[in-house]
Amino acid sequence: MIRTLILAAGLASAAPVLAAPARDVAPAPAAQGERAVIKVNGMVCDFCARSLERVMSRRREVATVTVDLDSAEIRVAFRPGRTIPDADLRKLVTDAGYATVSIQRAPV
Amino acid sequence: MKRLFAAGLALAALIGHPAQARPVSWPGGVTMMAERTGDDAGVLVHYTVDPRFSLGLRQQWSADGDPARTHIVATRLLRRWNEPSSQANIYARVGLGVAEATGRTGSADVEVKADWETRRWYLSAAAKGTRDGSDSGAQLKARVGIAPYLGDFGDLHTWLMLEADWKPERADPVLARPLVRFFYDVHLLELGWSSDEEVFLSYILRL
Repeated sequence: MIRTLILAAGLASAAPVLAAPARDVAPAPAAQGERAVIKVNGMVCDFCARSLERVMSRRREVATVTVDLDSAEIRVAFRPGRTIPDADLRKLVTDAGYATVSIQRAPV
Repeated sequence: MKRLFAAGLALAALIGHPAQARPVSWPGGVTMMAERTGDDAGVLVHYTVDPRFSLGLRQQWSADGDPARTHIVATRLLRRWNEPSSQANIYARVGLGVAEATGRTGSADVEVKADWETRRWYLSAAAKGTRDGSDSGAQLKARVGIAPYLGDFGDLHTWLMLEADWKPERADPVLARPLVRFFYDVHLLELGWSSDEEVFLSYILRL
């Protein structure tokens, strides 16, 4: 039993290693890049919607991610000169557990 | 009970089917879940391998002479429905390992869980079968919950829930368990009180 606890604790403490390298999301730069507003279905729970923050903020193209439960929208600000194609955004939303309804792009 | 385990084997086969759905967390995510009821206490740590599958290790300590169990646990999200104002899921979980009471024996359990929630309402039901050596057990749970207010992303969220818990081998087979669920950021905490006057505690951390 003690071995099991040690193993479980080890697994928990190894989380940052096991997880794909998460990267801190920097504040939005002064020179702002493109923005995308993603409308999703199924986003009813704050705790579960943390997944959207995680999967989006892993991408180097992403400067900030904002989740709005009221409007069921994710607002993604990209770093200047960078973007993520719609197909990849849809996959990220799917990986996070939701379904993409629409993606709207806003230029700089 | 043989039928239950035949169903479990069928379910295990189903779990391996690639066309079925998604996991509880996100790829690369690690979740730690701890729970204490009047029957037992346990800790599960699992790693989400891909969008449909997670793998973990669970240690469970039981009361009333039941054995302690150590299981490797595989969880599959069989189906998810994403609607504009709701989400529903069907999960399957299989645990394989050992049970220790007076001696060590093989142990397995199979659980199927379904849930449906909006920002205001929550419903879930779960059926579980357990086998420790030649001993078998079953358990059914159902929950209904309501959010007294609708918080936005980043707020402290609160749910009031009532759980019904049926376990035929227990002295009191049917328990009612009112509880309060809080979640904030990556932390989820549940505090409750069972009709057998036992405290219920549950905590989930997502990394």
